[in-house]
Amino acid sequence: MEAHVAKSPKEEVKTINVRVVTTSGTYPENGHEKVPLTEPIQGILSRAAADLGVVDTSRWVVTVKGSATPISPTTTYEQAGLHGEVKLDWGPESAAGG
Amino acid sequence: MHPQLCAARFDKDLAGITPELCELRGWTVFCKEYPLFDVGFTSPKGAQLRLQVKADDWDATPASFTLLKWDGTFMTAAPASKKNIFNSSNHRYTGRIFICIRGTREYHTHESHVGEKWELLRGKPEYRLGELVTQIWNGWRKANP
Repeated sequence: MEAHVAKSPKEEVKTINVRVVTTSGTYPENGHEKVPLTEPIQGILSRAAADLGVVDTSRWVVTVKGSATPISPTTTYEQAGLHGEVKLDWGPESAAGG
Repeated sequence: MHPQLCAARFDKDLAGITPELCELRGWTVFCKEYPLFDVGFTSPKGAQLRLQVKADDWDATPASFTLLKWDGTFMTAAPASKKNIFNSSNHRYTGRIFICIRGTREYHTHESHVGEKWELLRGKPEYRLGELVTQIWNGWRKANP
């Protein structure tokens, strides 16, 4: 006999509060966006780029406070070890010196 | 360009330099009034660099970037960087060490790069003032944790 264990929606979807900070502005403009922990970081970066009017972010890197190590946008918040409330610092990587 | 138009573009480019961004990045703004943007970087372990950006005639002419010690005096030795963005030789026009990446006045007037026209970069997202400073900060902070 199969056992069915009902899960409430609150148990199924774990979320994180995210804010993207750039020198072109912040997304969302106020507060945070609540997104699933299992969503790739790229999702909110795409929404931020569209909202802030940044057309080319191919050389942009995302970090969090206190770390210079970029986080891959294809990872999820869970995979990146992020939880609770986080500000993503997003901006262009340095070009190579001439 | 007309100074008022230059000042408006300067203010627009730097509108995102908010207290929130500065707190997140460890930046200290000493001056943000056209044509000067003077900002210091402090790393989590306490390394510091100060950068003075002079953006007169922005953005018809690329901005000039000067490396300073925290007390505002000129740096005489290039700080460490992961991508060799700081040139330790004396620039032919300023006579000082300089930042040698596309988008800086010192790059486009350096004898090795005079053929690379600012007009081709002007207005692109990576070459607005805030984004140029971000590039320099990113190049500096990896070698200065």
